[in-house]
Amino acid sequence: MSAASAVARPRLDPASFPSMGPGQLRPGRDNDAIDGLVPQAVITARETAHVVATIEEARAKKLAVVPSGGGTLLHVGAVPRAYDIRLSMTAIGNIVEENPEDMTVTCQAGVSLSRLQRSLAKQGQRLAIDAAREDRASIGGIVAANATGGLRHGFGLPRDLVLGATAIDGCGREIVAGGRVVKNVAGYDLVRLFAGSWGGLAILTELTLRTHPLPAAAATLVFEFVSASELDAARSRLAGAQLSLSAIDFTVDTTEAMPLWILVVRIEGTEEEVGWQGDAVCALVGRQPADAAEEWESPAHVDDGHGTSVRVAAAPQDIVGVVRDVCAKWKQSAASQGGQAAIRIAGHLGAGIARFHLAGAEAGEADTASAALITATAVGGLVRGRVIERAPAQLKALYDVWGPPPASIGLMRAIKRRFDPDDVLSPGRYVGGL
Amino acid sequence: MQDNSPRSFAERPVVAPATTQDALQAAPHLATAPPAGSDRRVVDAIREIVGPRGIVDGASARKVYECDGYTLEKSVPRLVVLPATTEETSRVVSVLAGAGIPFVPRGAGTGVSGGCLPLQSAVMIGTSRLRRIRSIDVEARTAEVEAGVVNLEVSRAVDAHGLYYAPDPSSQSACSIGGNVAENSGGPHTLKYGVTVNHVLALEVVLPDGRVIWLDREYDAPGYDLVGIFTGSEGTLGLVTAARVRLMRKPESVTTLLAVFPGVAQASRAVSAIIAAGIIPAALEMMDALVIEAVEAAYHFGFPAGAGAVLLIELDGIAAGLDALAARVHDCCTREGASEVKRAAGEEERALLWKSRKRAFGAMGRLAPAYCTQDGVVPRSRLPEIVAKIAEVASRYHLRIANLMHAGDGNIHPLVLYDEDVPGEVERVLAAGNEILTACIELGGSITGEHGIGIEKMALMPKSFTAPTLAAMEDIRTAFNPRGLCNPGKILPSSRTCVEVRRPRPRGGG
Repeated sequence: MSAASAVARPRLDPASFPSMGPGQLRPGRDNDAIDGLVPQAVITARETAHVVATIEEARAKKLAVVPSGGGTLLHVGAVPRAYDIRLSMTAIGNIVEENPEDMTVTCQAGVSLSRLQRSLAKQGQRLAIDAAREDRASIGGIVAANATGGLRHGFGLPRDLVLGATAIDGCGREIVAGGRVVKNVAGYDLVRLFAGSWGGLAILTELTLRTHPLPAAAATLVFEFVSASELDAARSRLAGAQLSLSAIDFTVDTTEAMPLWILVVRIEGTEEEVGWQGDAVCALVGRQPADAAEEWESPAHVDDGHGTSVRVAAAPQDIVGVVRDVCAKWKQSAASQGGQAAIRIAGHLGAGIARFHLAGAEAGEADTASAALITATAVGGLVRGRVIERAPAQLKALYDVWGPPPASIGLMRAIKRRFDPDDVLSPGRYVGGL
Repeated sequence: MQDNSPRSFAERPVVAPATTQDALQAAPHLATAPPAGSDRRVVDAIREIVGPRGIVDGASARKVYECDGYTLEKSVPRLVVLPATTEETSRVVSVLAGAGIPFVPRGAGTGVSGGCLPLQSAVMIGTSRLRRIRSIDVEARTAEVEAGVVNLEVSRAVDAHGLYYAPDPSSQSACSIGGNVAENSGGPHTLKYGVTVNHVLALEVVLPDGRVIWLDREYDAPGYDLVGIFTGSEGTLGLVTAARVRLMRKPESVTTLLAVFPGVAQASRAVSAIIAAGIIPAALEMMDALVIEAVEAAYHFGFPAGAGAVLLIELDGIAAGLDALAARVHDCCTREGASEVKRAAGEEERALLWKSRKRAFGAMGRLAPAYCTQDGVVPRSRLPEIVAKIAEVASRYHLRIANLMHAGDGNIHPLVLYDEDVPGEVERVLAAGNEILTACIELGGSITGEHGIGIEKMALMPKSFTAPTLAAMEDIRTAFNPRGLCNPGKILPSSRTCVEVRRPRPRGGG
């Protein structure tokens, strides 16, 4: 039991939610916990009014609300200052309007990415976003986290694809930001403020997103290298080429005795474009692919729901070197401490992102190995950013899991105070204690 | 109208100059404050910081800064300061903040919504001397450039490396990066590549209290997307002094098509057909008969006589597949009634086609003494409806309205032609513009796609957003600009710092 949960919290009163039906409000259970904190209640909102009612109750009683979609990223964030209500948004999950001619879709926040994709596919379209566990991950959660997969290389981040958003902020205000058109500069772009704010300013209820045509043809090419420098040479040649690739990901599994450095290139377009680009990629890389497939799943989703995950950012030209250095450092320290666990590493070469995942192990051993991984990935030198995405709570409490607060943290706090004056939305979970 | 002006229309419409005197009579709050005579100490302190070259205080010199491309309202700034470095900018803002004097940032003055109009006797801070390209990182494809650097200069500076800066407003040979950030500028090629906000990684800004701060989202930096909220904030949250921008690799191949239609209805259906076919051109522009007439009269590009509308369609990417794509676009156009689809034979022809588009605004002077540019957006599939609405409004108000549009984005630019000497015509122009923008809202669109709210469209904000949404925007302004000293009286009509801006009476008007 952690110290925080021992502190007496104000109690939530179920009678404050007369409009909610049976099953919408239940006591929190162990598997609702975040960093060991079990919420008093889990509320399943079925309409926007339930979100507003939850926030009003939270403000009145000074309770902390953590919104959740599919729950696939709930582990990311600093140890909450408090956690009283988990507000599940998955029941607000309808697709409101598909506008294939406009290449936009409007949907509620709780819809899962895979359901949205299936629906869009019937119109020959898709959302150019890939995520881990797409059958569970909600679109609201993906946007709130600005969570990316390999397709960010070709299509940008989720925040670049969101045209409009409806959200309930920490004051209970319903804010209708942006619109349904692809170009819009009317007023401040609140959509961008909410995208990537991790539910700390407002809870997204509805989104309008830009869609893309489903490619007529596609190929995923897998290349294997025996060394980091070979992988980096291939990365460099691809980066300098006039190609239009959808993803350039990599992975390396150090559980293997002779780890292979694997490059995964995603090519999409017309038959002709895919064929030509495939040949061009092979020529640049200097070999034939070890494997090729039509499907796509980013190898970067290495987090298996347990253990420790750390995300590192560097300049694209530095990322492979950074990964090699971290591996060397980690091995040295883990070996010196007798650790046996191995890490899986994967990421996005074009964006300079790598995720290190240490699978779950025995408790004591895991803590030592996790601490070694955290030490090995510290920001400095070529490492420009580091987020401890998953780790044992006691370790998280020791580090700034988002890294040191940015220079602009004062402005962020000023914004937080205005959108969530009572600090009811995911308090303490974001960078700098936001 | 200067046909050879490097500033094309979009950013510099020449609207009916009601005289300054008329404007002042109608809008006394715009009256020029005495040139800081009462603030002698402040002026001295600022002069000390920027030196004599950084101060514009003579009455006639200041008059140059009385408006941007939105000329219906004018106000001569009490003082213009042109700092040469970020540090100078910061110190100037500190002095002003300390004295409680409002200030307004200004880039190249190519804006078209009055965003840099000095209200409340604001001091103007121009970025025209912040002209350094600080660094270029070819491998990472980024550049750090100061606010006053001209948009096109960035692309020129990296051209040899096969790179370019993608956002290309029509005024790109004059407008500045800082202004682009303030307005979140677009351009013809934003259809495929996005607007300014998609290309900015970090911003060096001077906050309204004088502090210098970097807003940074490079390397997936955690925290709220302050770069995203600052971009497009029209100079109301602070003053940009430098930006780190993303550079793009030039596409391997580009091809440009010109499709000729009997009318805008057919052309806008072809736009829908192209988008619905899953094709995302690099640019997809429309010009209607009136624009074509003006362009032909001015430049003789050889557009077929009597064409009702043309689409200018640019496709880019890898060479393989571009021919097939062009053929599909050709089919879409023919199916929707194009009488002719030409493909530019080479770079020269391509450049000529773009010249016709980018100079279209300048050519409008052939048709009328003045015109007013509107900027609205509709969902792309509603283009035929808004086009019909514009025609209906034109006929009801007895006005000629030419249509130039970033059709692929659903971004319309109706150009309302008029003659200020005709009694009552300016009022009809403004009313017609209002109706068109209201129709955009009703069709699910926006009152501005790239020109901004400025002072021009403040009155339409409550039609576009709910009261809680406007309150949330107010919160953003307060978080950055708590005393309201930075660019007061813009964007939000509810602002406590906002003064009522009245339209000047047109000359000879009732």
